[in-house]
Amino acid sequence: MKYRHVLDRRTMLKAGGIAIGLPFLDCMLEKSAFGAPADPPASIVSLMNGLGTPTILVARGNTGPLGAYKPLIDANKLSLYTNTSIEAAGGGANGQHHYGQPYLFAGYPTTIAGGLNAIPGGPTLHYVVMKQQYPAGVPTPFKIIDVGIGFRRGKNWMYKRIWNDQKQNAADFEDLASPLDMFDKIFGTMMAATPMMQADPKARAAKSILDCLIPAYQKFTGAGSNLPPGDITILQNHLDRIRQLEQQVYGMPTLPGKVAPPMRPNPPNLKYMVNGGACGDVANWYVVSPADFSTAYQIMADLLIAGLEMDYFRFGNLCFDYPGGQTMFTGPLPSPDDPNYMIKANPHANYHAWNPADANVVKIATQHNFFVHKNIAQVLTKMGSTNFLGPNGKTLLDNALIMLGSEVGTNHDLTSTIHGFAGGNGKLKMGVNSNAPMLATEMYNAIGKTLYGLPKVGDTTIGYKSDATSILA
Amino acid sequence: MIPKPLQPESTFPASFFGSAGRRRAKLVWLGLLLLLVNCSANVGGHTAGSGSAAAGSGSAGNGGVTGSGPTITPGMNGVLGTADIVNPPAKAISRLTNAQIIHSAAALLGNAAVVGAEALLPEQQLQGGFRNSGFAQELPLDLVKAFDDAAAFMVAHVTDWPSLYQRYAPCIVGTQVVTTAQQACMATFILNFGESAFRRPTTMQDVAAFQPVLDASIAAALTSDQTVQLLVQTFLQFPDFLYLFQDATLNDFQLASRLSYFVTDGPPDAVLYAAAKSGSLHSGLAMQVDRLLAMDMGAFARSFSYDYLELGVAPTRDSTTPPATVQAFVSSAADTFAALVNQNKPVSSIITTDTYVANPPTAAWINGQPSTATTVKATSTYPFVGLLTHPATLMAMSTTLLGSTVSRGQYVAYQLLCLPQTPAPPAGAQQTDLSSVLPANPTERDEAVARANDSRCKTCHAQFEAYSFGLNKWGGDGVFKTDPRLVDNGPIMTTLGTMAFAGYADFLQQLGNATQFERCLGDRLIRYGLQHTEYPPDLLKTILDQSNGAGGVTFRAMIRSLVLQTIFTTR
Repeated sequence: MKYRHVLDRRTMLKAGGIAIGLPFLDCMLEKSAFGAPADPPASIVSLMNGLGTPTILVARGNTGPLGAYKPLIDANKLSLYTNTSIEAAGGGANGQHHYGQPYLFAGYPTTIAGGLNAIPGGPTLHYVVMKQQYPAGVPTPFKIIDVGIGFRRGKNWMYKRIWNDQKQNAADFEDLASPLDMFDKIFGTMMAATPMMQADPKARAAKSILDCLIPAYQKFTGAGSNLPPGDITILQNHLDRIRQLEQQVYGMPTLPGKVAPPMRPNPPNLKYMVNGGACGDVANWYVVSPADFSTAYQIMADLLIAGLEMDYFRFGNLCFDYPGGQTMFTGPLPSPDDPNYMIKANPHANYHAWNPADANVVKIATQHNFFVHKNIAQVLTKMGSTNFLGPNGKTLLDNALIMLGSEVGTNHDLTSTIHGFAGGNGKLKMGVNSNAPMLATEMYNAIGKTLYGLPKVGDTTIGYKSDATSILA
Repeated sequence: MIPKPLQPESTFPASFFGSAGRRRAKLVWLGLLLLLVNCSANVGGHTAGSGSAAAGSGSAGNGGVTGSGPTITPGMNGVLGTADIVNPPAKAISRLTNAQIIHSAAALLGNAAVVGAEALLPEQQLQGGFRNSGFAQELPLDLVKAFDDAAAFMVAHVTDWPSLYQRYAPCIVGTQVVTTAQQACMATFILNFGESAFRRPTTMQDVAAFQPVLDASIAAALTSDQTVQLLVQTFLQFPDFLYLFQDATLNDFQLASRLSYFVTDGPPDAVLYAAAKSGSLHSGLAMQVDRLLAMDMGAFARSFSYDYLELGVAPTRDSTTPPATVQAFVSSAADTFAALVNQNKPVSSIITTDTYVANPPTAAWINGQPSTATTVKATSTYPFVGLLTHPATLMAMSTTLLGSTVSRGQYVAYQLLCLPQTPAPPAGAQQTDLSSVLPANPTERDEAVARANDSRCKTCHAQFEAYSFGLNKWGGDGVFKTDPRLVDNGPIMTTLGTMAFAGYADFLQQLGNATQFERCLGDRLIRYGLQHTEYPPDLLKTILDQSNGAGGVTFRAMIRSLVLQTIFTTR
């Protein structure tokens, strides 16, 4: 619903009824016909991409792959920080995906367990803000939706990207990697309630199951519980999930105007859940055309945006190819550099062979990065659509905190990753394209403190080395 | 399923690097697996004492973190030595596994009610720990939804409600509409069914917890049948059903549950529960565990082996073998493990058995032609020895179809020998060029040997990679290969000493008989049985010594010894 610009009658009288030409007055702030619009509810969405972007491509500026973001930056809808270090993740400057991914948007050093699986050092910002802003539980059917398209899942950090304070997956669903699975779980089979249910006494009786379960779990999580704190946390998580289900089934959110529920998509017929093997296992790298990959990704983006608009969830992540993905892109991959390029390469393996003096290696990385950032920019543009406006008359792109990032920079390096920010309801500086060295954890802290009043984000014991408050408006 | 034609070990598409050529492609692939020098073992947490006569002390206090790394004592004269086993302490309330939910529901509702229900419960991927360990259990939204779906499914598939009523509340008349007057009868059902479901005595407080269902049923004029169905659906999602609560010192009922879910993967049977209810379980624990160990232990073995051998990984590895066939392989491997446990074979038989329990896909794979044999022996085209050469395990342990020396070496070193894990390889090392020391058309072993001989790589790779050489003829695709370039002889240099062997059969025999293998399996069993990783360093030695004293290290002996330790009766 859009709100009219109004001035109340008293203000009009004070001004003598003359509004034209007057300087801007506080009383001219947008007001709804029903009262002052509240700040939009806290919402964080990240757009991750696996495998990073080499610094030589960053250095090309707007003629390179990052030029995809120029319209958004010029329109003061996005800021990019292209020299952001996540080295504190561990593993040194070249810590690679397994250290970098759990650190991304979290800021806690990673511990590596058996089989190169990661034990995150702490929760991701989405989870921290969700718990802090919604202490009674986020009032949406889903809490955190983490989706992505990628063809490797041999390590936990490939398909688990948002972490909770128990070092476990914070997302509502694990490894949501297929557009159809995503649709079914968010818009389809999970949503079982119908208005008819409320009128049916037998169906209403079924709700009594939840009326029993909730106090049963509360008995163990409440003040009188004598369980150890860790056990209470586990049972509290279970209780939170039950409440989520209750809300889904019996508390359907009201769809804002102009938001139509999405239709079940018809995505490319890919093996979305395949494990594309190890770095040297060429036979198992999953072969997919860039066109199919992009189509599937954009479908998931559309579903993510629909879910946000419908207020089905307020915290989410969309991942373009997985950290450490093993995708054998095969087919046309045009770019401004080479509109006729045909790719047959695994970008991850290409990074392992990284040599800036090797023209072919650089070519593959360049074409791939044009592809990556074009797709992500497209999602940001969709989020900025004025077809959907919040109660304050602003778009998703304005109101949510949108974060861009990858788990590595050049060839598994952690010292120069790209971070981007949009939205934040006006509290972040927009229109910036900076290559100044920054520490990611300090950016996360600047955001956490200023936008949410968090005392700290991530591990601040390493000491501050840069001034990330410059990202703030 | 006919085994695939034998493949040459390594080929690379020339187009991968355009005109760069095969050798460069191999260099790149090789470079992915290289490590820098000064790689050191990653240590942390408390350690279990080595227990070996030749070992140094090296043991830490209970639950404490050692100031130094685990003690590794190489063996002498070709016998593998021992290493302290490090477990980061982890403990949390445990939820029933999917299989345990099904077994528990079957005990309540009858077997017919649960057929097909397990398919509704999504399995979560696991790193570290066992599926029955609370600290390793995640709880995504679809799993909680699935608890409700499965509960509703099972309720809908009960085939004999009258028997159920007779068992728990004979006063119930199914077709009768529930009124306030029938609440006393419903209370009887709640008390009796609840005692079975919660595995402890119930009280009127438990009845009160279900009042919302009774109230709603009365308001909706539901029949007793419908009301009981709602009650049962609720029971199957209650925390007292799904979770195993444990006091600092387990009470009799908690002990009965821990014992039963450990040994039978299901709830306490009537005899065990009666012992708990009479207050005599703590004093009569030996009798109860002996009674349970005399029964079929297949449920325990399948559950334990699925995680111990990481069989759940197999379906994610191989994208060419039909998924249903891979699942059949997994079942065969678990059933084989179960047979060895039931036959009370020594634990080494896991590595050396000459017989697999088979199903048609597995039998066909082994025999090379369609077969419905229920057991299979080695054939000339599939001359297996033990479960490490089972197609399911081969797929589980190999990140490549060819059989990665890195992933398989790590599997043996970490999963089967509990050696300290090496840290993650730093990037940059991937560019190390070892092509000058490689033969033409090198095998995986040739590349592994090159790494082991290179000062920049060997410090880490030497700790685990050589353990894979004995399996060199076995592909990650579950196929035995006769490529003459594939060498599976020793000797190999390991941190546990030099190991000489002539071929995989000899290697596996020695591995199965190694003290460290026994110790590692013992550690895994302790973690599985206690559902946490915190145990005193002398516990492992005690269990192995007692098992040997009882005639040999078998699962039954180790389980009995563990159950009768004080720690089994504490949280």
